[in-house]
Amino acid sequence: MSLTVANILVTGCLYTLIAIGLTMVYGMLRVLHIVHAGVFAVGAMVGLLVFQALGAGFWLSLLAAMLASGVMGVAIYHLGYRWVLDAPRGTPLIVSIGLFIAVQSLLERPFLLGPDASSFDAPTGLSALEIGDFAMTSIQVTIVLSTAVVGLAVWYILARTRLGLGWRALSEDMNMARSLGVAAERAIAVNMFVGSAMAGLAGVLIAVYENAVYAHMGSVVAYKAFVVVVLGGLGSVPGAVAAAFVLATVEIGISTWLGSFFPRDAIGFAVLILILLFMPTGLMGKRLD
Amino acid sequence: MSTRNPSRRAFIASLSAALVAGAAFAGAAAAAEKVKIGFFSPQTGFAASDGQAALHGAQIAVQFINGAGGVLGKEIELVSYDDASKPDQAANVAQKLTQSDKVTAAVSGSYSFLTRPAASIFQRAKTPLVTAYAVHPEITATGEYIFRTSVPAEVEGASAAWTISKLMKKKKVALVTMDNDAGVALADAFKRMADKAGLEIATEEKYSLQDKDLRPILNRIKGMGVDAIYANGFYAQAALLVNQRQELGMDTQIVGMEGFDSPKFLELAKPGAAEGTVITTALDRGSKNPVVQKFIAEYKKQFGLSADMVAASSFDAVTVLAEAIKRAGSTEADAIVKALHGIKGFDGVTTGPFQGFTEGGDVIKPVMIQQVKGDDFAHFAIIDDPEIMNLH
Repeated sequence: MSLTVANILVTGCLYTLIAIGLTMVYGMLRVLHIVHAGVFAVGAMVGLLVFQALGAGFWLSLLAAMLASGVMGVAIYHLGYRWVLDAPRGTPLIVSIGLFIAVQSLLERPFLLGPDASSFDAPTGLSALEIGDFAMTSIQVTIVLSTAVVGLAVWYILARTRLGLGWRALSEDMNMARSLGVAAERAIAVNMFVGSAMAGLAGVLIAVYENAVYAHMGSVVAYKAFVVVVLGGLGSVPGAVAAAFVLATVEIGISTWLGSFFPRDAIGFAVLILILLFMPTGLMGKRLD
Repeated sequence: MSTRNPSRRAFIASLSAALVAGAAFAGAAAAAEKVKIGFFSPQTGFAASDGQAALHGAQIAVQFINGAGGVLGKEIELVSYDDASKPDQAANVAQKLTQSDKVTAAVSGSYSFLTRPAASIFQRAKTPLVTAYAVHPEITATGEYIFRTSVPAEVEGASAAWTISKLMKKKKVALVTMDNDAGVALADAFKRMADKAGLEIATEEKYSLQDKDLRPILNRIKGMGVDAIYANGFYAQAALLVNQRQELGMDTQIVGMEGFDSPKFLELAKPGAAEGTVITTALDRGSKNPVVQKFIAEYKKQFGLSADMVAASSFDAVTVLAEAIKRAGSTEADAIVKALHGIKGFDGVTTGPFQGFTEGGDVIKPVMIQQVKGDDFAHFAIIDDPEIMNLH
């Protein structure tokens, strides 16, 4: 039981990290940001390269990965989305899917990750946790702590800073916010940077947790993260956090206590459909007109 | 007239010279003409790691054969395509090999769900196909032109149940089954043999290839008091399984399948996590057969990697096919099929000895049981009991 609780907690944290960036991008740009999953994989790769090639420790590799992913996010906006924001909704989506396929194929080249999975067994230095019956390994503790720190930082930016106010204004009505003096380009760039850095963070954490970095590691993320975001209400950060933990609990709960009669991904989508039947805008979504 | 005669003579002379040269050229072309053997495996996509090992194994086979004089006095040319780990692409490749390349015969260095759509195209085109390591029973059932040089799921799954029950003397087992063609076929075969051997199956848990978190499954099994876990999957799933088992503080014996047989499994497993894992496979690395040792050494030399089951099986599929073409003395499909059926007791292969093919095109050969010891696989047992080898 306690092992299952630890698993739910860790999985919920990982879903949270990936989903926050995604829902922030949707909230502001109204783009279904599929290539987020590519940023996630690139983050893991950069982390591994810095760890292996430069012999850096876990935390420095993590930082480098977040930085690289953040820059990649900003580049995706400037080279991709910025030019198609006024185009019909399908256009930025196609751009995003195309970029995702390109990133995955690139990662698969022999000069990057190649076809094989690589081991990423980096000790984080944090100690394992054992309180009575409840136990967590070192990397699990690292995942929970990192998510808590980063999650609080994002909450602080959103709720307490001018930048966060700008983000919220832009997602309410981009044109109105611009005409009232919000520095939109800068706010969007920072938004893309923060969201993408979180994806890179998640990439490294999952890679170390499962001891594998590979070109296709974003494949599941590409659709699973959308379940979380839609479940939470497109564009809602607190909704995404709530949905991440709801989904982790239901998925792991069902497969642990009822057995694997039903594929785990199918459980996620079944939950999504059920909740959308009764709450069409997700757990915390607002009506969009 | 007289003015035209010399030119006509010159014309005729040059024409005949051209004809002679042309004939000589054609003769040279005939000597350089090669026997085309088609090959497909995943070079990209999630299965690319195995697909590239398969191609490397096949390439070494071609080098060995050509080095020893080729077949029918000609060299073999391997015409290889990427099936991209996608069934529709595997079907396209099969079309290309049979229709535009018009290969003499072909080898599948690919998985079951990729080989199945291709097999029916080879069958329709009456082009012999030898499957290197895909286990699904339906593949050879496609028709008389489809062969397999690895043991089918029926034999491999039964060998695992036999190993757990008869060799390890365990009584109660949990199944962790990969939810795809190969995984389900192996598990079904396992269950049939477990029934016969009186091995109790506590539960069967299925997972999909997308699942990276097998902890819920292991947590369920943990409470059931089983002596062993029979798991199937590819090397990445194998590593997840042993790593997460270690994380959850379990030490239940894991018995896996040939998909585990890869140096990548040992690399992705955390220190100590894979130790003791037993697998059913085709390659006995400690074999005294000189072909095995020559292949392993050459593979290491050319690719800098340890040869695995996939590479060895692809080497064997090409080798057996070439042997059949030699014995047939022809590149004609029906003659090759007949020659394949005539191959008995052949040990020019790395995963043999091949006792021969069944009428259905499946090979009869022993199953190797290997165990992880330190950072390599080591001999555990060989299953050559006819009761199991003849389960087809």
